[in-house]
Amino acid sequence: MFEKLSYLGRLTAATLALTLLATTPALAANYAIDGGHSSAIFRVKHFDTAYFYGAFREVSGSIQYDAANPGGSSIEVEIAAASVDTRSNSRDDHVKSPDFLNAAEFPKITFKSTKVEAAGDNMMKVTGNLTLHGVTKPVTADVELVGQGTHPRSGKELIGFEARFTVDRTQHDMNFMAGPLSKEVDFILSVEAGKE
Amino acid sequence: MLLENLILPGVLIPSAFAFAVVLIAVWTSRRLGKEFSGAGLAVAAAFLSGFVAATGWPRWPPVGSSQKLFYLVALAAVLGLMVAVLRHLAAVWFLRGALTTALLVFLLQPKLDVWSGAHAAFWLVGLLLAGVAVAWAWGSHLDGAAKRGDLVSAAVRATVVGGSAIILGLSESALLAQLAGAAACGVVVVEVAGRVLGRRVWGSADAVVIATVLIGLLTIGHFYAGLEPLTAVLLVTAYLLLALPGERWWQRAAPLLPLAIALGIVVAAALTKEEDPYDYYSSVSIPEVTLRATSSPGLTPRAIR
Repeated sequence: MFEKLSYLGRLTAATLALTLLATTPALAANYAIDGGHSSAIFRVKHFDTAYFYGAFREVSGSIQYDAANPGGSSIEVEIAAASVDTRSNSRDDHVKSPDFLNAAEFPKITFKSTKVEAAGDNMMKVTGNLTLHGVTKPVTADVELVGQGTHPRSGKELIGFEARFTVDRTQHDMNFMAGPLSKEVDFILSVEAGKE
Repeated sequence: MLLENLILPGVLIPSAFAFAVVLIAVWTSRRLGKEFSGAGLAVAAAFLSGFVAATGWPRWPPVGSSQKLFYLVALAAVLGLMVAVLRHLAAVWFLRGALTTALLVFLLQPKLDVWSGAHAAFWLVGLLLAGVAVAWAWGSHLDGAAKRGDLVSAAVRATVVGGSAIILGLSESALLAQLAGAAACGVVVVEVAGRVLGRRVWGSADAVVIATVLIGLLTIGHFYAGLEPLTAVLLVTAYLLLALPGERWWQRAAPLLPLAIALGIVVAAALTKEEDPYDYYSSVSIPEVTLRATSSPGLTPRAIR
């Protein structure tokens, strides 16, 4: 049938096809967070004197990233509360206890984005719901697209983001020792993800 | 810091609230011409005020087992009043069973979501029997020994509740110990008020509150804060021995035996364990860092950011 079209007709069809290709938004690509190369670090002020840093060892989740249209991107992250690591087993046990994370009752810390906005070169503002200690509150993170590359062995496309945000732990009902340990907890979530 | 974060919410505020409740109860009972001391209400007031002072007002609906316990203790205070008014044996047993069941189901909800049916039934039935037995033992003790108002009984009650606070302090949660300490302050305030006023202060209905606080804290301590099973069992044994009948001092002091063993375990654990629960320093290997002055050009203090 295509052969029967006139030269003008063929030209029109090709132009239409090209126009459609150019105007259709690129679909977001799916990435799975690589827990082995991702970090969730937090800091809290101790006795209003110095920052103390801790981390979580288990991070997982997924990212849908649309480079052409960052607003169409989304992220879901899950952190195992019991994987908290403060370089002291006894302190880890205390942080996991009902005094703070209550990891036995609330084993997961989750973040689900609700809105992603471009905010300059490689920067985004990501707003979402953070569920911590069983309480869900909105939080906005400054997110940097750190880089993109290819895994040298698997050939998988990689992408990396770093998010920074602050949480008032008392808003999540973690009120114990609010004072000696600051209410504000700063988080850095750095994730590497592989294209699926 | 110690005053603001531990002594004020753990001791002073609970004691003040318990004292205020006892005063109001005594004044009310004199006006009404009835014998009512409000001891259970005073212990509940101590626990609830200590909770708010330590962690703020709990959310509604409650989030987490300790917030659930807050509301259950408030409910127990109301039910305790009903028990005091009803004075009907079957009604008392029904309330004990219903409250203990509610307590366990609410506190163990996250576990019930993951336990198999048989596992859940085992724990629920076992803990329900233990909980009702503890409530009965406290009720029997308060109805009998406390009537006499002797010093040995008073000391045993204060020691058993205060000892529970110390033992919970060596779980992984300092908050649980603080809450048990707040309840112990309520018990001590009631005992002192009884001495000063020269009247009977405890009644079996008050056991509803005390049992709810202690069973609740032990349940949270064991299932969510690493309280050792043996220590929990010894504490429960101490509560059960409160029901031991007898006039001799050693019979009245019997609950101190398992409590002493539990405290002995705590001391032994503290002495022999590699890591003290709140000693954050011994298990951290801190590298030695030596700062040296340098004459490298450009590396002046001003250049270090």
